[in-house]
Amino acid sequence: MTASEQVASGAAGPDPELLDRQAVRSASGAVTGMVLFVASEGVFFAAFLGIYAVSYAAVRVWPPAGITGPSLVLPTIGVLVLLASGGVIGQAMRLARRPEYHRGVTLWLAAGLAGAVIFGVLLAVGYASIPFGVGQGIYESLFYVITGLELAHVVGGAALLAVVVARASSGELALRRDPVQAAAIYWYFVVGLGVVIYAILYLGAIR
Amino acid sequence: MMRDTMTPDSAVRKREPVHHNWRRRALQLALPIAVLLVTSGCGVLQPGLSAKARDVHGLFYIILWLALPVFLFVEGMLVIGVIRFRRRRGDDAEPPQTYGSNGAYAAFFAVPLAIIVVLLSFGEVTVGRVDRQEPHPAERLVVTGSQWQWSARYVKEGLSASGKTATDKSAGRPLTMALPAGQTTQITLESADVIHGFYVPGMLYMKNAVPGHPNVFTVTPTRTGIYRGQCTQFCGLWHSKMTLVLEVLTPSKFHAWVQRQQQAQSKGGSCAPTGSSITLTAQHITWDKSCIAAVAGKPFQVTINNKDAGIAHNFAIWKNSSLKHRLYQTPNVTGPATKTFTVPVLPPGKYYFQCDVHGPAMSGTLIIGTPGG
Amino acid sequence: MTTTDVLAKPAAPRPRSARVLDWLTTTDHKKIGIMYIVNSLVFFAFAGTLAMLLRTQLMQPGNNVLSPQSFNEAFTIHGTVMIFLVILPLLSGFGNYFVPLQIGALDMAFPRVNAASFWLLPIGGLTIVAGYLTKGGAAAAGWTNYVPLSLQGGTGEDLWILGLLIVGTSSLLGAINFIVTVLRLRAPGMSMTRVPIFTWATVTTSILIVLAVPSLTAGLVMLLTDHHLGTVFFDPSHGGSIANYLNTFWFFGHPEVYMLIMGAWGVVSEIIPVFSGKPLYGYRIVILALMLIMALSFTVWGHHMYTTGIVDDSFFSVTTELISVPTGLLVLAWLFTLWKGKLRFEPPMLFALGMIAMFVIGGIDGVWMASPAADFAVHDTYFVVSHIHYVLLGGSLFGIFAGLYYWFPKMTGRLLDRKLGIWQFWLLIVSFNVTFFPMHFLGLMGMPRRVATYPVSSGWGMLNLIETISAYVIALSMLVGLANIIITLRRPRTAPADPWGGNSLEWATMSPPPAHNFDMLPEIRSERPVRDLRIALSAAKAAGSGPPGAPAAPGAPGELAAGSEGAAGPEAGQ
Ligand code: HEA
Ligand code: HEA
Ligand code: CUA
Ligand SMILES: [Cu+2]
Repeated sequence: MTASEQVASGAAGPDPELLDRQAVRSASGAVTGMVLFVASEGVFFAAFLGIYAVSYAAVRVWPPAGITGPSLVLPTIGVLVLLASGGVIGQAMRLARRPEYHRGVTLWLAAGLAGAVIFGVLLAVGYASIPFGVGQGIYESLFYVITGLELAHVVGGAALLAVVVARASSGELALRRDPVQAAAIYWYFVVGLGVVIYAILYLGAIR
Repeated sequence: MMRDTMTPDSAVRKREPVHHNWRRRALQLALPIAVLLVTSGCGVLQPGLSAKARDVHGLFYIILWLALPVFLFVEGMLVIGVIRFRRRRGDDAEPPQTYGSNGAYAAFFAVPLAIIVVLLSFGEVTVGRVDRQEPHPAERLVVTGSQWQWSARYVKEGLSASGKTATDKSAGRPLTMALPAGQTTQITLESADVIHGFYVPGMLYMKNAVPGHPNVFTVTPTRTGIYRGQCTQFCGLWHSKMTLVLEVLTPSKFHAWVQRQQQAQSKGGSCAPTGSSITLTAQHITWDKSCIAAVAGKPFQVTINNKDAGIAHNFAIWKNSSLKHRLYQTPNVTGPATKTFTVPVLPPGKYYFQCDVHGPAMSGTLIIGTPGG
Repeated sequence: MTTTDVLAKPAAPRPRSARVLDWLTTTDHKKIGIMYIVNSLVFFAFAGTLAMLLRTQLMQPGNNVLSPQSFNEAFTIHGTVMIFLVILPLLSGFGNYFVPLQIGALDMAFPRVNAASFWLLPIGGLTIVAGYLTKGGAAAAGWTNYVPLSLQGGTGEDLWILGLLIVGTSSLLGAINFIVTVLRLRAPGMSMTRVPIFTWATVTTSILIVLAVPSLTAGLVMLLTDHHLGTVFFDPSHGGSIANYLNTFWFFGHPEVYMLIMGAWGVVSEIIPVFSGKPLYGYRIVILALMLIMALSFTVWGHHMYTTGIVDDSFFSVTTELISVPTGLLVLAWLFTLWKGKLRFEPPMLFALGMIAMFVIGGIDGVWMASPAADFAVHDTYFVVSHIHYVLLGGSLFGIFAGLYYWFPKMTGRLLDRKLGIWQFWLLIVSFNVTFFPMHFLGLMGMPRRVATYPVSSGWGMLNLIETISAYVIALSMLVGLANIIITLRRPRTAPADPWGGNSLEWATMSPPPAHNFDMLPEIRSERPVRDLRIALSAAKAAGSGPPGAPAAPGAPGELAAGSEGAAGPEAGQ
């Protein structure tokens, strides 16, 4: 008889309390998991922005001579929409945090989703009027790749919101706000990213 | 010692408590062997062809003397611990449970830190010396790495030298470059394509040839002799064959060497024009011709047949190999491709041509003259 | 989660196809852990075979066993596979199996994500290896894949990039899962200052992965766009720069090497105390050291670029040398743990001791090269190859073997053969040193790494010949290990729950554990809960709650024995 057998050889199954703890805590892990994922995404974009900074510091004029920066009209509208969608999702979060289930959660989430879609469309449409090609120089390369990755993240974020909206409207999330919160964190990241990119790639390219 | 029971607790068997002599003797032997082994490490290091190299050599010994105690301490504690603290059979009591003390922790941080600080100071001083640009270089060289050979241009003398790339069929030929002993040479490292590593073990110094980022260093060789060098940064198929030979000569011999090279180069090839079109084939980073000729007084056509897949070459005409005046230049042609260009009228004479991407490694003589003359 | 029928009478064996399907669809962290390990061992045999080819080619000057192209592919794939598909996943495999057990959880936080991160691994690995089937051959630009050389590559290179993107995603998902599991699922009483060091090491490794792998991902994305979409990140003639690649790669690359070793440190930190009968010396300070190393490892990447003239050599030499202080602290903690202990030389302990002995050599090599002026003389030579193998083979892989011998009974219910284990250890440690120590000399003599061949006149032939012969002995030692596994797996399951007198919670359940891991958990009052339990039980026994040898506490050992095919404690044989 060893110490360990005493522990292992209890009833024919785990202590129900162990099971409960595992289930509850795993679920709320979604938020922590999303925070970590977003941190990782942050480093990913930081790598590109770091190269942007180094390239910027290496030349006298920026963007390098001979480039007209992108038009500001659509991106400005876009970033405002994006900020609004962030606020809207924030409101959804606030409602979701209430102890009792609130129907508004779904509506606010849906509104945020709409904002995401509009921003994505504006970003995509904007490409048509960019006055430069991808291979002309480092600014152009950075511009296309960073905004392209941003677009990919907007699409991903919108998909995530769509899933949450669907699940919330079916009432599935009535008792669990973690998925809403996780999706919201991701979307905040996308909003923050959009603002930084707007400031650096668009505003920063005004000569 | 070994038993086949499945319970290891009982498998730990009795060993004689007597301390065997062989054990102490083994320890007594192990220490000198370890020292010998490690010091012989520095023995295989080349003594170095310059003062800078000897600085590095000295640093090796400093690191060695700092590292050796660390090495012996750790391995010694392991060996002694293993011998002294083996569990005796039947001794099931727990040994004293020591969890550690703050004093010990402080020492754990402090002692290695102290070693590191000493090491860093010596390291910093040495790297400062080694990287220092010695003033007023007597010679200036531009050394260019390309897949897969070195070429060197003596800026003052307008002299170019280059190796020849190995292929499946031929072993290639290393670049031979001479340096004057006792005088400072400044070397600018450039790359025509990928990153290469300029390394002459005798210099105990290595620098990369990085595209778009020329690196400059100086060397003042003090010991004459022939030194082998090799590209150390992996650069593709024939990386292993990208070698060079460094000859450190007395200044008078060096100048004789330069003159011999210049003569050989100005003799160059000689050839006579045969028509108004020339075809140059590039393969394995070499031209198929070292001398081409065209008729004076009219434009002529040059066809570049680049067989090097994925590699860019061009064709450029310079007044001479000092590369000061470029008279004509085609855009790059990336292989496999064939392109034809028209070269405008040039006054009769002897010119130097090369692929600007690969430099002297792909160069030759262009003669503008009269047919048959 | 179902309460599995551990105690039920053995049912009629299920058809093989159903059992295979079980494994393919499982979300049980233990099965996933085993799949991680098996998958890695298969890739290990492959990458090791490539190493044998490399050594055969280098056996003599001017050899022609491999063409230059095949040689270049071979070391590229050897390095890539060893790093990304052998060492890291082996440690993740142990992590998967033992982190939940060590913290008293029933599974990982996200079991399905866990399955996904496993399955991405063979997919990514096969993608990389599939380069061998393309016309241009596999990737051949080294595991560091420097530009612009790598941009000259063909399909094999693209597959390499794609494969690494997949493997990177797998690591990232796995890492997040580990962190959340440890943060959220620890048993009551299991505070962060009672978590076993192996689990701690898995957490610090995971943090490194979360913050460093995205830098590699960015580098790979830029490689792809430069290669196929015409961007100019790495093209100096258009405002790009080689430095953009070097910095993104090594910002990942150095933390990467710590990802490859921290888990092994963790294993050794488990084993040394158990087989010395003492607690880990300075448990808390070891945790501090792990965190310092984790943080510092983001500041040292430039030491791979001393000779490029792109980075500030002095800055990086300071940070690099500093990192050996906390690393040294770990080594000292192990040494002081075994000092005055009562050492038992079981195979796990042998490998752990071997790990310390070898890793120190590799570490000193590292400190050597961290001094820029010294690195100028040995960078990109066989000196570096020696360092690589002393830290990765002598360090990580020895640690992993220690873990394999240590945990094999827990995972399979069978103890690996002791005699064969000892044979494997001595064969390996001797041949390893004979193979890789002379590489220091070759490096100092100026033999560059990654050369397909060398001339007779170089004078490197003798040492290379010795190394190659010795490398075959390494392979032999690996075969001994393989044979040990195969032989042991055909034996009956006789391993007791706690064969070594362990400290951490994985020893508080059966070998192998039931699907839900624990029926109940002991109280956790220190970082050695199972030892506490052992002491409490023997105290109870001594207090005379029963005749010696009889059940001392509630529970029905007879029943248990039926369920787990005759599990018996160490004392059972007495
Ligand atoms: C597991 C992997 C691992 C680990 C742990 C390390 C650990 C270290 N490495 Fe290593 N390294 C690699 C894997 C690893 N490395 C690889 C794969 C490469 C090659 C990459 C390529 O392909 O190019 C490389 C290359 C590499 C280089 C570049 C060499 C070159 O290309 O020229 C350098 C240079 O500074 C370096 C340094 C170090 C240092 C200082 C440590 C330190 O962390 C070591 C610290 C440990 C000790 C020092 C020993 C114990 C300490 C004590 C007992 C205390 C007292 C000691 C002193 C005071 C000295 N490594
Ligand atoms: C964990 C990492 C790891 C491990 C374990 C190894 C293991 C080995 N390595 Fe590795 N090596 C690297 C990581 C590793 N290597 C890296 C990162 C590089 C740099 C790559 C680059 O430059 O890009 C490198 C480079 C490298 C070189 C230099 C290549 C060059 O620069 O030209 C050499 C040369 O000798 C070498 C040899 C070996 C040998 C002989 C083994 C042996 O120990 C292998 C023994 C293992 C086996 C033999 C397999 C196990 C066997 C079975 C399971 C049984 C069945 C199969 C057979 C017996 C065939 N390695
Ligand atoms: Cu040039 Cu290697
Ligand atoms: Cu490093």
